Amino acid sequence: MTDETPVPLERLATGIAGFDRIAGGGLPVGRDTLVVGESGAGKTVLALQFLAEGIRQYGQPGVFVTLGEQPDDLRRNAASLGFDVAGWEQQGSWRFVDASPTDDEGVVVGGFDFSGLTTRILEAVRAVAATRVAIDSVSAAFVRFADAAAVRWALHGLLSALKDAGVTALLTAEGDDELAQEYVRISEHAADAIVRLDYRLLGDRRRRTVEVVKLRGCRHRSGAYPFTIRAPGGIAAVPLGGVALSQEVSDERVSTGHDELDAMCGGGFFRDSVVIVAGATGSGKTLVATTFLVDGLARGERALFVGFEESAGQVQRNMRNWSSDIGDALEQGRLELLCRYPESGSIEEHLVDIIDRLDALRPQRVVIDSLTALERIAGEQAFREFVMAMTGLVKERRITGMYTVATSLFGAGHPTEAQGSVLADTIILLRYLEAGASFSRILAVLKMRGSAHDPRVRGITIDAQGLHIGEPLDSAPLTVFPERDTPHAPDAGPPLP
Amino acid sequence: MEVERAFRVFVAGDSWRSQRVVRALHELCAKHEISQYRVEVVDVLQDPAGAERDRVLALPMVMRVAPAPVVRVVGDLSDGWLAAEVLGLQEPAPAADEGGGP
Repeated sequence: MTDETPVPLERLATGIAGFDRIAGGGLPVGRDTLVVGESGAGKTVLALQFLAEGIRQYGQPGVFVTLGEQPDDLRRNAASLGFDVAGWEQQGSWRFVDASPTDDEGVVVGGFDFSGLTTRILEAVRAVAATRVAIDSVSAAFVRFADAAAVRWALHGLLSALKDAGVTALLTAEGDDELAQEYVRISEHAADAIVRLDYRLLGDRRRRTVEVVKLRGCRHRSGAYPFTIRAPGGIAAVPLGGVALSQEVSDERVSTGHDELDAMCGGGFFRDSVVIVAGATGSGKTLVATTFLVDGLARGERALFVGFEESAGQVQRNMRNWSSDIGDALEQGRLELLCRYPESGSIEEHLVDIIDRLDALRPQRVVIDSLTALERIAGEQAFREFVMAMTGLVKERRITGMYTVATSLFGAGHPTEAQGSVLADTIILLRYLEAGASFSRILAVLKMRGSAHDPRVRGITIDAQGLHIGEPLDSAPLTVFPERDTPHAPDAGPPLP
Repeated sequence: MEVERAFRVFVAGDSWRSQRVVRALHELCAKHEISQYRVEVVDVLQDPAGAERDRVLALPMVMRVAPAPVVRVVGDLSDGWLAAEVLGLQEPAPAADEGGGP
C-alpha cells in the first residue's frame, strides 16, 4: 500500500517535555496513537502523563481507561510522578473507566464486542467533556479474552467509536506480547501513529528511548531519542540535534571577560558559539570559565553554572574569590549553580535538568564544568549525544556555552578532546610548561571558527586578582599541542628531543 | 422447593444479537426445567450508569445475580451447554473416567 499525497493532520501538543518536538508538533488530533513497549518501558507513565499535561497545560479534560491495573494503583503511581489525579477527579477534569479484571471475570460463550466498554468510555467522555482518552493496555484485553480475532474486531469497533467522538486517543500495547504484536502489525495499517518505547542495555547501562515509528502523512523525526522518567516530573524526552543547520549564525561578539583573550579571539566569542576550555587539573580552566560568567553578570546578563566537579558551596566560595558581585547575582536570581555528582543520575537525566534550568532562567551564558566528569558516567554514544544536544541547545537559544575538559597533565590524546574539537567553535588550551627548574602556565587559542584569531602561545599567571595573560612566547615547543589538531604555530622552534 | 434465580442481561441497543441472547437464556431455562427465575435486561445505551456500576466490558453479557455468587457469561450463548454449566442451570457434566478410554 502506498500513501497517496498525505493530507497533513492537525496536531495535538501532548505537553510532554521534548516529545512534541520529536513528533513534529504532537499527536494527530481526533485519531488514535498506539504506544508499544515492553513491560517497564514507561507506557503507563506516558499514558498518565498524556492526560495529566492535557489538564495542567491546556485545560483539556481526560478519560483514563484501565484494562489491567486498578485505578487506586494508578492514582498512587500518578501521585509519585506529581500528578494530582484524585484532585482532578474531584474537579471533574479526570475520569477513570475501570475495566480492570473483576473477581467474577466470567466465561466467554459465543460472539461478543466491546460495546459495553465503548458505552462507558463515551459516557465518561461526555461527563467531563474530555478531549483526551488513554487506554492502558490493549494487551490486557487479549489476555482476558482468548479469542484474539474477536478481540481485534472488538477493539476495532471501540476505536471507530472514539474517532467518531472526536477524541484524541492513546493506546498502549505490550511489545513482548505476541497477540499485541499481531494487533500492532494489523494496526500498522490502521493506527494513525505508532510510538515505540524501549528500555534496553547499552553497554553496561540501561537506556530509555522513544521513537515515533509512524505518523500518518506527517513530518516527524526518525530514530530513537533518549528519555528519562523523573519522580516528580514524569517523562522528559531529549530531542537531540534539535537545530536546523540552516539557522542564521550570529555575528555578535561577547567578551571573554579578558581584554587580552578577547583580542586573541579576534574580538571575543560569538554569541551563539561553543567554547571548549581544555587543560590539565589546576591549570586555570574553572577560572577562565568563572571570569567569562562574571563578565556576563556585570553586563546584566543571566548565567548558569553547571558543575560536576565541586559542590555548590565550593563553587560559590571560589567565585566570590574572583568577584564580589556573585552574591548579588545569586540573590537577584540572575546566576544559578546547578551542582551535583555525575553519578547522581544518568547523563540523560542531567541533560533534562539542564534543559529545565535553561527554560526557567533563559541565561545568555552557560558553563559546564566539566565534560570529563560526565564522560565517566556515560557510554560513548550517550556522551556524544549529550555534547551534540548541548551544542544544539546553545546555538538554538543564542547562548554562549563554555565547557571545560580535563586533559592529561602534559599530553593530549583524550577522547573528549577529539569530540570537542569537532563540535567546538572555539578551543582554548591551558597547559603546564616545564621551564628550567619550575613549571609555568601557558594559554593558547587553538581554534576560532569563522574568525581570524591569534594562535600564539602565551604565558599566564594566576594571582588573587585572577588570570593575567602575558606576551606571546617566541618559541613555543610543539609538544604543547595535541598532535591531531596542530595549529599553525608561528615561529615554532624545533621539537624538543 | 426450587431456588429462585435472577439474571441481569446486558445488551447494547435492540439488535438481533441482543434479542438472541435474551431468547437463548429463556430457552436454556426451559430446557433445564427451570421455572423460578427473573430476567432484567439492561440496555447500556439507555443506561450507561448501569454499565458503569456493574463494570461491563464485553457484550452481550449475562450475569446471574442470584443465587450468590455472581457469575458472568460473555457472548451470545451460542454454546448452550457451556453457558448452562457456568450459570449453574444443571449439574456439572460428570468428569471423564480417570484413565478412561477415548
